Amino acid sequence: MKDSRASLPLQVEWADREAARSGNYRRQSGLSRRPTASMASVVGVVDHEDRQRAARAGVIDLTMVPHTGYRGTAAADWLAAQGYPLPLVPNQASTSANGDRILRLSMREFWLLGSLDDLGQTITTLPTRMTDTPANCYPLFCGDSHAWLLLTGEHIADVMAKLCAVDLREAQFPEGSIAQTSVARVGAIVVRQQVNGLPAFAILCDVNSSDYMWTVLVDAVQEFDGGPIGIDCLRSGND
Amino acid sequence: MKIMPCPLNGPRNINEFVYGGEVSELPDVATAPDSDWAEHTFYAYNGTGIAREWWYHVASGYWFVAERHRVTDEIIRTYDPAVLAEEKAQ
Repeated sequence: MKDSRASLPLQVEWADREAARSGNYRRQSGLSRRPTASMASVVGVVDHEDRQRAARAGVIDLTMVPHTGYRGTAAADWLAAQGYPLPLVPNQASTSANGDRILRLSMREFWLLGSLDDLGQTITTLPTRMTDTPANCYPLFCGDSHAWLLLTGEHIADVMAKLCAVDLREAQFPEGSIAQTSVARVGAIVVRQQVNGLPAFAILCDVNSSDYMWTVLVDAVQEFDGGPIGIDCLRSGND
Repeated sequence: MKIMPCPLNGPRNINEFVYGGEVSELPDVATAPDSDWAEHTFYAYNGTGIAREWWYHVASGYWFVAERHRVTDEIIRTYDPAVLAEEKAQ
């Protein structure tokens, strides 16, 4: 495999200046950065072929784009009061007007993924302390506990067929579907989305597995002439 | 691979689940004698028939109840634990 652990740099100059960094930051050492609302950055551009790779099978680490969650019997009412359109049944996702993604993981648990257009700005305005939300609505720390990888392009279902037992083809798993399952033997949440006109899977797994999940995905997309991409080609207005 | 129908996530490979023991009634905390607690803690039914068991879907952190035949290992039905609370209330 191209990026083996042994060849990764020990020191990454920009990473020392940021408030936080993803588990994969060493793999991103030489690439241009795009700051997000979390005071940390994601890869902006890998090279001039990002767009073509994203259309086939692209992989990007969005862990540093703000994402959060709320749980409890009052979570649904509170989120609706904040203006979020909520899916009515578990394991469905919806999109807010500014592009935040709302994942309903059970009747009482919701995760919010920051918009790639405002780079998570709206998510950072939401409360993170239990004292700032109503009773029975608890903020979750999935922004810290879970890595967020995005797989894009026409071959996403073929890529996932190698890694996951659930049928994720569009006919069985349309846009907005969520599967909480095992991906490459690691527990993960898979969400089908449209990102800037491309079919995509958001894959959320434990941060401690993000380095492993990255290598697995990058290895799996090679067959489809895919590879790492930057966030710039996924933001609207950048077509 | 054996398939478990999860009430929240639908059919999934059995290796995504963890067994959580039989569904059993807790002895009365205030009045039950030691013998009842010993029975509850150390003894389990070891016969045939249909077992009612706790199962946990690891990927979604979800506990639910499954009814499984002890002889054929067939999973007869699965449901949310809210059903247990409703049964108790009746």
